[in-house]
Amino acid sequence: MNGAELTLEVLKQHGVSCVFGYPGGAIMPIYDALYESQVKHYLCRQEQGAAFSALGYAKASGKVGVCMATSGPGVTNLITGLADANADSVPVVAITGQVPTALMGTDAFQEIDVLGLSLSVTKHAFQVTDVEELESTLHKAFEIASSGRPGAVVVDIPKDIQVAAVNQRPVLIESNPIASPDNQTLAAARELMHRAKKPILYVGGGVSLGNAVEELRAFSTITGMPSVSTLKGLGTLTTADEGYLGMLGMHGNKAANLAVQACDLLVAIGARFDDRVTGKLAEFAPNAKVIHLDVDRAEVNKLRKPDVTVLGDFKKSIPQLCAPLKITQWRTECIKQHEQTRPNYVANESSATSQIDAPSMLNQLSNMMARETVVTTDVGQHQMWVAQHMQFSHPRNLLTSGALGTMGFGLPAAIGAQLSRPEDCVIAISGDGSFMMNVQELATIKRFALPVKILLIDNTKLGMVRQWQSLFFDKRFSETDLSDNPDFIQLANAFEIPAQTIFKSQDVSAGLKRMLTAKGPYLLHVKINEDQNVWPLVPPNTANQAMLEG
Amino acid sequence: MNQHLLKIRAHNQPTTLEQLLRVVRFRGFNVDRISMNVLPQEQVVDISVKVNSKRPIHLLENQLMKLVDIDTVYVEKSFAAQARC
Repeated sequence: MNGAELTLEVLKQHGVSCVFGYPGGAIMPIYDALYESQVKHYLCRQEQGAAFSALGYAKASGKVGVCMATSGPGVTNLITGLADANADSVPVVAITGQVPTALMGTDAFQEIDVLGLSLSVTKHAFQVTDVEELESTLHKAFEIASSGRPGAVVVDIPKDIQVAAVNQRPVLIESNPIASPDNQTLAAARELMHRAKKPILYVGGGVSLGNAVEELRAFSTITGMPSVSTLKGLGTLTTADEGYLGMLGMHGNKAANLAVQACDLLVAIGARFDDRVTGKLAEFAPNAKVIHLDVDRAEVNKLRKPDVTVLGDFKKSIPQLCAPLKITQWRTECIKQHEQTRPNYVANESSATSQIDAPSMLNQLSNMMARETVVTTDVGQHQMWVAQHMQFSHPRNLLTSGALGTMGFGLPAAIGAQLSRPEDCVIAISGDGSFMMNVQELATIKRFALPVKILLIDNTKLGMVRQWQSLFFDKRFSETDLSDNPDFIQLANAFEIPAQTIFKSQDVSAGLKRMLTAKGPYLLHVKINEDQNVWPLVPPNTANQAMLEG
Repeated sequence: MNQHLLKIRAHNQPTTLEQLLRVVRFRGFNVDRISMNVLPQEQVVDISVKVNSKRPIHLLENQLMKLVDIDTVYVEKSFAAQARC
């Protein structure tokens, strides 16, 4: 056995059945081993596509995603995806080829300092310079990627290590279980909750990462506490709970933002007080005491000092805080506010000539699609419309680039999601700007005959940047025009993907139905008005109650 | 600006010092003085680093504790008190 074969054996031991990647000189021994391996390799058409596919696979399944690339440009292309994974706490292991150890540090062909590049954007990075350490290093990489707060881990393997002979041997890896919460702090949290008259539950993506969605739902039901969600927390709570007020923050629901600003206790679970959530930090929930539950100590007291900190496993901490609260009046106020501020959706069949209203279309799609449909998004206006106007039954059913906000995420992430959940419908919802950033992955969809649906919302603009130019830069529309986009129908057809364009609201229902019932991949190209914007919007460095409403 | 003295024990890996200095810079701290001592038999390294910043030291302490190769981070309380005098 050589190092390359050992690498694939370790992947199999960790239950990895598929990897995403792109071959090249320094990783050829591993690709040679893949030729006869049970590990299925999915060839993407650029390394960034491979990284995002691994992300999509991991996010949709809860397993570790694996991607591979060669040295030099292979790694630099991979880096954006790894940074995205780490920022959103997604477990991904990247295996990269490196020039032979004798050439390292000589500026060899396709040599780059992988550790130097990746340490700042990953949870950890290894370089294996002794084949005897390869096996234990790979096991450690999986343990680090998936334990505690998950993240991306790189294992850089020089070519001579890949071909060196090695014997497989049992390896014992210490696991790091998440600590149990402290009883004293739990008691302090219960006391604060008991005293609060206007508490709000602030749910982040960490709840799902901690496999505590059911515990959180029970907490919401038992306490009756009105709740709000971050972008990454969407799907944790659903509209079945009428106290759930939707997303908060820059593009949050009015009722959600107003409730947070008025509350006297904020129970933050798996959330990190991100600037897109808080608006002007000093004026965020100004009258609230804070209970912060997290697994990552570094997220506590980073931006907002909590009154009580509960560190540790959510599956253990959340149930210990479940107790009914006497907050009927506050809950009723919040629900009433929510009812009064719900968006009015336009009936898309109302007029034969009217243009398509993107929020109404997405709401309609949300009502039509199966409960376990996976939606991926790119970044921009369409992403916020999805967050505002679609409902998800679980956080693993909405895959989006939250922290890093990477355009080009959606299409390759949908590929990974489809492969991890072949029985479920996967829809990539994209904008015309984002779609072109990793459009080469249409070839991957074609190659593997993946039934990914693509809903391309096209305003021939970089819509979100343009919206900000309109609001904050005197309508100086610098470099946001995309009216020279390609013919998206011809483009899809070039990859043997059937496609259709719709322009008018009367065509929405039939278009969506055609997309959802297509057996294979399908692209629905939706032309919308370039002036349709995302509302509400809280201007930067402004308190969340001062939202603009269009 | 507040000065702080950190005493760190870490695994002796090629990337340990690079990671430490990167986190110090990225989290808004400057290095005033640094020294390290490798304990070869134990494969560990002791690092003493004096930093300054307007930011509270717990932000750096918590970020350093997340690094895989760092075992312990100790903030010298007596040094902080002296530095303020």
